[in-house]
Amino acid sequence: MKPKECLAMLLAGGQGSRLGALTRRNAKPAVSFGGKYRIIDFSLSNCTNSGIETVGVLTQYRPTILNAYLGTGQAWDLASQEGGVHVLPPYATETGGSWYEGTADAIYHNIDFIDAHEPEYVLILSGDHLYKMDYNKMLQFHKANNADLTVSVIQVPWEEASRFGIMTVDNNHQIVRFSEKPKEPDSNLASMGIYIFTWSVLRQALLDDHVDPDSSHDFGGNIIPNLLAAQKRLFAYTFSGYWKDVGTIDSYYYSQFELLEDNPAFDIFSDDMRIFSNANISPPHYIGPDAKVEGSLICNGCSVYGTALHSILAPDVHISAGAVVRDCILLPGSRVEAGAQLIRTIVNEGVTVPENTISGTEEGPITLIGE
Amino acid sequence: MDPVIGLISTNYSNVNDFGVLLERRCFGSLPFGGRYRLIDFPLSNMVNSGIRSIGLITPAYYRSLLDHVGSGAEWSLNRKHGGLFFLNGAPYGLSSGSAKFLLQDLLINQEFFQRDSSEYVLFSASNKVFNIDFNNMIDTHIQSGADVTFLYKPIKVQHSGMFLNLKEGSNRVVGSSFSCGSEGGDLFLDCMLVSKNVLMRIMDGYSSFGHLDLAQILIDCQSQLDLRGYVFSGYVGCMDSLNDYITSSRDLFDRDITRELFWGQNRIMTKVQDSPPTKFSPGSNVTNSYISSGCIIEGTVENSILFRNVHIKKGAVVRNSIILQHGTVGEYAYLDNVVCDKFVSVSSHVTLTGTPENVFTVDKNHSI
Repeated sequence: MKPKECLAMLLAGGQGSRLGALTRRNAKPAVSFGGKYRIIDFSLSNCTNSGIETVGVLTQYRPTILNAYLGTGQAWDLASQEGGVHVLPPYATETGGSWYEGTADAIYHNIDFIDAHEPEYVLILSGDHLYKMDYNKMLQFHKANNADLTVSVIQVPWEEASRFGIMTVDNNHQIVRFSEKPKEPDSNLASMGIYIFTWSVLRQALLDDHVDPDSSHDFGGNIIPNLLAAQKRLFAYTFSGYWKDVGTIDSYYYSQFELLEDNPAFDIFSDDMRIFSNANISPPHYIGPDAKVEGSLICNGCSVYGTALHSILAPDVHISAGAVVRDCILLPGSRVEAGAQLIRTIVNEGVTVPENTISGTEEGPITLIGE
Repeated sequence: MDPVIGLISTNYSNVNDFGVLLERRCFGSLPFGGRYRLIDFPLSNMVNSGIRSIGLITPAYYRSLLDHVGSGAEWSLNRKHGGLFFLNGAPYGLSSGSAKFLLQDLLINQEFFQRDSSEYVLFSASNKVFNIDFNNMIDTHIQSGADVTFLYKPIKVQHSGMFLNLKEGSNRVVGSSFSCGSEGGDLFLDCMLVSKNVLMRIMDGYSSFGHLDLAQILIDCQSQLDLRGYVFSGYVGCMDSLNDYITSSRDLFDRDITRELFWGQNRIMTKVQDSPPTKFSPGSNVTNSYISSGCIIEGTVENSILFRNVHIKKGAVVRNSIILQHGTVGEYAYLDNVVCDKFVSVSSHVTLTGTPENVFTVDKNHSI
């Protein structure tokens, strides 16, 4: 096999418990987003658009939908002779088996996989962020600095800095301090959870971390502080652009409605860095004779006989005559029966909302109809 | 080895009855139903019926057809064993309105039939839209011992096309005609199952008559061959003229028809383009319309079909119309009974109207 310059490892095994019922049967990266997409589409499309051909996807929690969705990676143009999407679940060995104990442990257990590709650099991604990024620029930055690790950071408002992992840098963007959720931050550069490691450095760090009985085997908690302590060359690459963690119900809900704005910060319609997805083969959507649809995103396979106002309808959603949804997100295959009135409600995949259901409130928390 | 291989013909045209939509494309690549092309229907029907080797006879204008079908991956035809075979059509296609299976197309591709050990060849044209599982027809053909089984649908209105003469009280085909009265007739669906030894004999015996239509040859041989009809009772959308195309497109507003065509166990597959969802702006007003992905709708759309990436701007009104991929309708433009081919741009405040009988068509890439 031709050696790879850079290989991506996408961490997709987490539960995403903050998304409640949405991740009860489905891993967070495979949760529907923005109508036709699933959250992992954004990271995978970034890989394609950055020329990264080989992606290892680390799975663990509820992987059924995710595995089926990934397939060969063809949907993201990743199913090439030179590359591919490789699903990497935990596995058993002659000494038994175990789960991935942390983000670093997941990579540790796939050292053989990475070695087989002989990469110089390894890009670590998490599959739960909404952003368009050319990883290649970050790689150029990493190489120019002769870095051991480059962390992608974004400037956050100072008052929010204590919610993030904060990188303090010197004038050359070299990281001098890393503090996880600092009470009194001295920087507002937040880690985006995107790392480029020089593979030889990461490989040794993983081996050292694995035998450390006190380690929780986490990139943020162990690997990065250890490298910093060992005076390795750590740099912060400042990303400017739209980036959002969609890991809570609120951010999941509100960031989708940003897609509907007139000049959205994150534009799914722009041809620049297209978002690919594993699209279904449903027919176009049908808007019925008495339907009313305004300010909404609607996907293939939907049929709307009732009213949809300022809502997002994923593929194959059905809204019966007389039903009204407003400020709602309806996930793939869900149905809203006649007379139902939903406000500010998320309806989970495949769920049927019975006739005359009244749900949601004008203010306060978003309602989630789970099963 | 699979007992049946498929053969889809696209090497014929009918510009006279169709106008600009078919000027530079074959029936197979004619866009239909918001996201499909007509070739999707015979291809999907064959694949859904378990046929895994399909020959596709290409027309003179094959760019759009090959672009759409590609390696056949969408129909799972990118296979090591069998799969999709592109067969070059004869340099001159059939131009008559009803003949679909030019013998010359088959003669120059004899190897395709000789190399395969299957016993039956399922022929289909690409100008009719229906969703069928061929397995019953195949079983019936095999059990009956017939040489040829023609798929037909009894219709009750006058229509163009080839009609089968069936022997009273049986399914034997004894002749054909190219017209029917107002009482209708048994319309041949341009789809037939032919036993391969019969096909090879016909190709041998008629090798200097390449200009003839295979279906017609078979019917002319009715005294020597066992010809049967197999009735299809489901929905059929015909595409024999522009008016047919529009009627069949409007049939998609009927929920029962779309349920049968698109939502059964066997789905119609097509090339996936990966457009974003369609965006409805505040103030958009859409009723009884069939809309593909990637559209932006700011105006009014009624009784219309919008293909991918169509933009209906603010104040524009689109009624009883079909807008193909990448069309733009400018602000306060008014369209009624219009068909716009791909990449048509209608400027703001322009009014275009046709009538239901005489639809106004706009050629590809035109700006008005």
